Amino acid sequence: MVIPSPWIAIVDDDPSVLKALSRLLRTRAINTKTYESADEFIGSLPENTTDGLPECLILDLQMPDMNGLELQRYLDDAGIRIPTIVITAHSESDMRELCTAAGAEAYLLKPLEDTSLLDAINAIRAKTARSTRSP
Amino acid sequence: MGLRAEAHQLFDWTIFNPRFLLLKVAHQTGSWFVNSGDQQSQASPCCDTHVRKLLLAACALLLFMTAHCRANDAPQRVLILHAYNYTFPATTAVSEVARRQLIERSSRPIEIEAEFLDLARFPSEAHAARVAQFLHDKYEGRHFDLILSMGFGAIPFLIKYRDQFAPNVPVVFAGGTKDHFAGYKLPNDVTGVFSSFDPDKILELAERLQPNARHLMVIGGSSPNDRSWQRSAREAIERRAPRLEIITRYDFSYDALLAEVSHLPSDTIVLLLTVYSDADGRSLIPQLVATDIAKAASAPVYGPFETFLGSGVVGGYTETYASLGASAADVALEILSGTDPSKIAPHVNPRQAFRVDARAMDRWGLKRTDLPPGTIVQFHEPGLWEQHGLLVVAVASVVLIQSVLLIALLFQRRQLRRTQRSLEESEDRLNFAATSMNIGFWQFDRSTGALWVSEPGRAMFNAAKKGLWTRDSFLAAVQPDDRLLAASALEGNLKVHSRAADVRVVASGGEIRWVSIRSRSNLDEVSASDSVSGAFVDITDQKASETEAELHRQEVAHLMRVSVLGELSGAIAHEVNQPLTAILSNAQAALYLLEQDTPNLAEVQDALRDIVKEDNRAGSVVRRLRGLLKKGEPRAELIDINEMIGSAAALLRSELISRQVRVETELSASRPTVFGDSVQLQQVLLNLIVNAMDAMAATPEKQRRIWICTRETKTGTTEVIVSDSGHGIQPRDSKQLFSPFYTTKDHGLGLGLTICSTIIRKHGGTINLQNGEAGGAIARVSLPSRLMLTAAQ
Repeated sequence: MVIPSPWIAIVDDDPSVLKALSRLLRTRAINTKTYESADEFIGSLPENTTDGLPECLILDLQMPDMNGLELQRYLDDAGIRIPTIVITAHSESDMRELCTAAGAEAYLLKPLEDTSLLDAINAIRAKTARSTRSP
Repeated sequence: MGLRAEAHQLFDWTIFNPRFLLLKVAHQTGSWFVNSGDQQSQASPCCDTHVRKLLLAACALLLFMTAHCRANDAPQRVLILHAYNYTFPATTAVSEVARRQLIERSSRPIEIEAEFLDLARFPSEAHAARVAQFLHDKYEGRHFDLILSMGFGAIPFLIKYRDQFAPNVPVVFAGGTKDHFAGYKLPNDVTGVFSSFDPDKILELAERLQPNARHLMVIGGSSPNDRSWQRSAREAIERRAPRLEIITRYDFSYDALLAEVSHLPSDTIVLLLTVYSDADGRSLIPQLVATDIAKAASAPVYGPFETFLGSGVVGGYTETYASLGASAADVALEILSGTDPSKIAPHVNPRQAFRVDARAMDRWGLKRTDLPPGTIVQFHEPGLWEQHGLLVVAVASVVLIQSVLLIALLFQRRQLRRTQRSLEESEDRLNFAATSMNIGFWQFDRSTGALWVSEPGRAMFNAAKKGLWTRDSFLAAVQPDDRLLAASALEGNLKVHSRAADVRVVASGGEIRWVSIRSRSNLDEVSASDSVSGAFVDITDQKASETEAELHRQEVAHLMRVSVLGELSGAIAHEVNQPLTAILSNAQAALYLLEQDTPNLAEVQDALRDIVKEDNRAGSVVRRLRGLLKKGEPRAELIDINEMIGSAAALLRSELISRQVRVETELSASRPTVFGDSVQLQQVLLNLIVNAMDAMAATPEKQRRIWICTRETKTGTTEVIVSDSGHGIQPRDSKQLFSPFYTTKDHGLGLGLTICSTIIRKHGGTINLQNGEAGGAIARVSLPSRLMLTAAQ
């Protein structure tokens, strides 16, 4: 049995941002897959299994058709638990609260520092590791 | 001897009366043959007997032939016998008319002899016998066709002596009343025209003119003829008694009578009959008697004869002697043409009438209104009116017309003055109003180049108040750059009726003033008018206001742009943050790679390339923002409308995403371009898109759609259409959408569309908003295409 290496999904409607974040994480040996819309990401999810899910979702909040918050809610409604880091240019506190309420692990403002992003990823990894070790 | 003398007298009178000269010649011509025969027999006593016989035979033959040839053309001979002599106007008047009529109306030549019996002055039988013998001797061997008897006195003479000098020659008499003829039995071949003596009518006239008369004096002569007239008048006279006291003076001494009539009471009627002689045997001429009595009398005198009129007698019931002569001539001509005289009965001259002498009436103060109807008024001295009536009427008419004209002219003058005064007042008011509003009037004559400018107008151009102004002196006051424009407005144009041009003038203080030249062409090829008129309006203040308003408008527009961008700040920040995020991540990745022992330089290079690209992207957003936020003068440039729409959409990308609004475009492939200020037009577009987004706030997210279309129309304009799927325009708002401070938004200022409208108008275009057929609103902006603008410029 081949255990798939962990990867992180990045969803942002801006291809430049997708490419830059993907490059940043790749230099740190983190695999990424990029999606330009929520629909594209949902379409990539395996059906009826949690296998193959990304270890983390970096999600842009402001996107056409379905924004980041709506995607969070969709996944929640679908019972799909993916730790999510929300990245946005919006600094409004109400939006931060909404995202947190929807299950966001981190809420980072653009332009984001690499350390903040890596810290958030590491925090999720640690949390995930703790949860998998617990009986 | 007496007979010879009278004959000589008659002969002389005939010779020297020019009227008879022709007759005399005819007479001599007619007598020539007999005389020549006599002369011939006396002139050749020693000629040979045979020769004489031959000559006599020839003469006889000649006479016979001539007589035969002249049978039809032989003159008819008429002897006019005057009862009196030539000094009696009545007989000469009658005979003159008769003679002229005979000559003029007879179809054959007429030879007339005239004799004056003078029986009034010489009433004795011996005189009559002598005259008869004279006539016999004189006309022996001469045949008359007719005797025309003038005056009744000749009738007894003719009855008695006609056979002695003119046997069986028919007689036509003229004159004498029927009463005169009463005692005579006229032969069958004696006929003629009676005078009608109607004393009753004369007295009727007198009584009408003198209704208060109490006395009637009747005057008559002592001759048999006079007695005859008196008998005729007796009955009419006696009828007037006793109303009138009758006084007859038939036998009087002429001088005593004149003395008596000079002392008559004024209420006396004097009836003058004939007076051929007085009681002293003094022979008188009735007309002269009438003159004397009328002159001496102290009361009006009336008489039966026409000849009395003009001698001072008031009038009477008379005939004219001319009419008597004409009537007698009619009868004579009838007989000369062959009518049997016995078939023509003697008859009364029908032409009688009341006749009066106007002067005599005036002398006695008798009124014309008392005259019987049809009275003939003679010797009427026409008054000014009658004499120069036409002239008076003409003069009066001229005076009247002149007066009317004068009055009309005076009225017109008054009206003119009033109009002039009104005009002056109106002009004063106009000048006052014009001066108050900085308006000057002008008129330019193109043919002479003369320019009239009102005082306020001259002041605008720093010209002297008086003095000649020309086109050139006017243009000299205008700024050189504007002179062409000024000249064009001043000179007018046949095709353009009115025009206006704003030009600059350097005022006396050196400041620039704006003057608008409004011109109205009176140029007309038909009427050959060659003048242009108009007004100068000082619009310096208006220009300043316009500039100020433009600055304010720009300021407001800028504030609105800032306001819109402020509302979009979050979205715009997002638009900047996206490239910054990419830049930062790429830079950190590159740095990390470079820190490795074996850095992946290709990756580093790629990261750097992305950094540059994203930096440009962020820069472009900043530039757009800076363009929209900057203040400054509008700048005209060529704008690619499609590109401008793309730019606006890019700027609003985040906002559109944030509001879940999808933008669809249908841009013209011909890439339409317009000439204008890109910032202002971008502002319009942003405003319309933001309005569309706002309008769709309540629209379900999936249905939020903005459709932007560009196209070029056939009329050469470029249209930009922005439609949405929002709530559309409410009817109550439709008319006020472009009004300032009118808004349908909770937080709006109500200036967005007002500014959009102003900007589009400034670009020569139009903007309108309406509801779409499938819902939502459609904003349609039409702008002149670049080509149109170029052509217009």
